[in-house]
Amino acid sequence: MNKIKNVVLIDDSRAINSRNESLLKDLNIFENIVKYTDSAEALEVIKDDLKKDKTALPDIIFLDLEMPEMDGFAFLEKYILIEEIVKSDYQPIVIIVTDHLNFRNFEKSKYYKSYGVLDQVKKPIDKEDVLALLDEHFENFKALI
Amino acid sequence: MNDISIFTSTELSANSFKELLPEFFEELYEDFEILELSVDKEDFSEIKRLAHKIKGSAASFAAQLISEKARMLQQSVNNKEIATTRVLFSELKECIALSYEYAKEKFEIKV
Repeated sequence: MNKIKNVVLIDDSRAINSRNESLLKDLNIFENIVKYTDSAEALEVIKDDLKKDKTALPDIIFLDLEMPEMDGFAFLEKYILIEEIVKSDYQPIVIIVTDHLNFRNFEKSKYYKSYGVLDQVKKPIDKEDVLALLDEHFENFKALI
Repeated sequence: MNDISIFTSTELSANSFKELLPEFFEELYEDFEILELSVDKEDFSEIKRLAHKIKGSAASFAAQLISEKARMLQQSVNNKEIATTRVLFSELKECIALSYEYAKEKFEIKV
């Protein structure tokens, strides 16, 4: 069965990242799951990977909003400046993960919609959320399950 | 105290939950140490941030008792009344100790 190749989890809690990784592995839909507790590091690795291979974009990024130093929106501000993100026909789907599904965050995230920020999900994420998100936003999802 | 008060049901398989609980508690204790220093310094911004983080990770591990108390602590910061914050911090400490003892016994974890 084909799988979605690369998923990136960005959350300042390593326990939450491990928990979400375990959850996603149980779904048996994803090939590679990479975790970051530091959004600045995630950004640098994505940029470095793209220098080596212009097609090395993750398929999906689950992005925590409330993080110290560089929060989710600060990550997105820099993310949308990555040349390959701007120029590529293909963009990762970015799912914002937050405690607060409020109007303010919703409005703010709309600015990044054209860069792949397609949805928000409330913490903690569950399997049903993930399957619903993939069904809605991932074109070839039904072929995977 | 029954199971539901301390740990509610989780999306994780029983094995995964048991494997990941030590990591949850390790990080929790690390964050709690910093939180304690923040309470001593009356650094409300840090208290709020750490209470929020603990609330979130506890919720992800269905540690309801901890999550709820951390939520109350986070909200208390809005009033900037250190006395209330200190009381809730002490209560959170008790909740964490209770949850850890329960987890050690029920899930045979070691941190």
